[in-house]
Amino acid sequence: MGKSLVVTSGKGGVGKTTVVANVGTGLAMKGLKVVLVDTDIGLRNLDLLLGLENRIVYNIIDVVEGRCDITQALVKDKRFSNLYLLPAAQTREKEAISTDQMKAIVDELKKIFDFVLIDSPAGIEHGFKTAIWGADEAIVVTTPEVSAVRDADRVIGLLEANGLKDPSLIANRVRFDMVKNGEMLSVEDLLEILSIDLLGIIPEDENLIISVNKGEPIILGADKYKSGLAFNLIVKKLLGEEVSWNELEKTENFIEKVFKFLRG
Amino acid sequence: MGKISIKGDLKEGIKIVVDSSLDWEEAKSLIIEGIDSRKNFLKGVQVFVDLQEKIIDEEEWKDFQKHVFENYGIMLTKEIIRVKVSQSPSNIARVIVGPIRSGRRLSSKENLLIIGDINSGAEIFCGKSIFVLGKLRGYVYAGYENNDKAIIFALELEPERIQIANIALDKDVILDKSSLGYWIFIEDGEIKINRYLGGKKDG
Repeated sequence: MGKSLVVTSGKGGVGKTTVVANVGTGLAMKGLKVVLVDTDIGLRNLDLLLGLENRIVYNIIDVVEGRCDITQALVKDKRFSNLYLLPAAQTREKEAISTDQMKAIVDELKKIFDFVLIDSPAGIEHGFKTAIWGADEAIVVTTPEVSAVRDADRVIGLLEANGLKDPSLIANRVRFDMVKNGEMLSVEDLLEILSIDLLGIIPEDENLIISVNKGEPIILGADKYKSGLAFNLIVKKLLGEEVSWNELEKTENFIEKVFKFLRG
Repeated sequence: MGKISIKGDLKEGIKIVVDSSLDWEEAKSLIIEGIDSRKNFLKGVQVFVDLQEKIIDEEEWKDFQKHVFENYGIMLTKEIIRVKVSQSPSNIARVIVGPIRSGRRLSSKENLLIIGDINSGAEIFCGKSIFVLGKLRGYVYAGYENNDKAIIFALELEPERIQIANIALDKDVILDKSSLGYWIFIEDGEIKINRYLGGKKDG
């Protein structure tokens, strides 16, 4: 029986879908059977990040409304045959699926897959409530900005109230240089306010924009890109290994510093 | 030539008494000398300076206070501050382990003891007193609605709003954020704030 994890945040645009795409790919790279569920009905993005947008035939609402069965709706990943996507519908709205229907689908998927990663929409309304309904555990994503942190705090309260105790935190878009200058909240500050365990840190990385536009999760370039390395570490931690985040701070090497200086 | 004396007192904490024959410039340098030789012991502590009726210009005092604080981490004060509790609160308290997260609303008729922070965006309404062993960042209303004997205690204050009975606290009054522990209470129809004597050790 597999495990279902919901990735949520409250605030939009902090990196939930990026986390799902990359952590999912990373788990598949370790040989596990993984399915990624896009619950952002009406504003689907997960398919784009995986480069699978042209391969969607059926979506989750088709399953709910009986036009196909679950396996027909699953889209196999381009690169890994043990990684699948259950796409959201683009032309419908979040009310098209109920919390019970979502739970039933997730329970079905848990029978087939080792990991079910659920990409939650932003907000705390119906879409969010549905996304968390089928989850065994939760991952909260935030950026080091006071607005994102307050939303994350709200969401953690709601998760705890809905039986998802002990969510873990991913701090995204961290700029270690700004933290050092006192211009940005540190990961310690985030942990102090949110009081949950840290799952991972992802440094700000321009290469992520390119990877999203190309539909190639950045974890595939973990040897070249620090955000890719960060996702690797997160996957390891998720699978129970001890990791150290110091590698991320060190990767801004001398050449990068010179270029930064020249760019001004 | 007059001098200053530095001593400890059970009721008043650490006290520097300035001989009235000293002029202010002399007094300042003697105070600095006295603090400097004891700076490790006094760091993080609030020290009462008894000027013995000498009148000092407020700006001048504030500059000196700031200078001492920035260089030694010691807060000088001209007024004695005693921890004051206007009435013993009743013995029953509901204990809640925090943090109280954003968006959560708590109400209680009984005293509340919150172990942990009250995060910004959280709202607490209490008929009696509220004790926060953590940071008070949210909206806290004690003595709801007319109980002016209610008090609030918090380790650190960064509130959105604090109210007791029908009086709200003016946040500009929270000047010294370096100490740990604040009592907030109503006295003579005004809301007042006292620091908990003890100071915060610099980490």
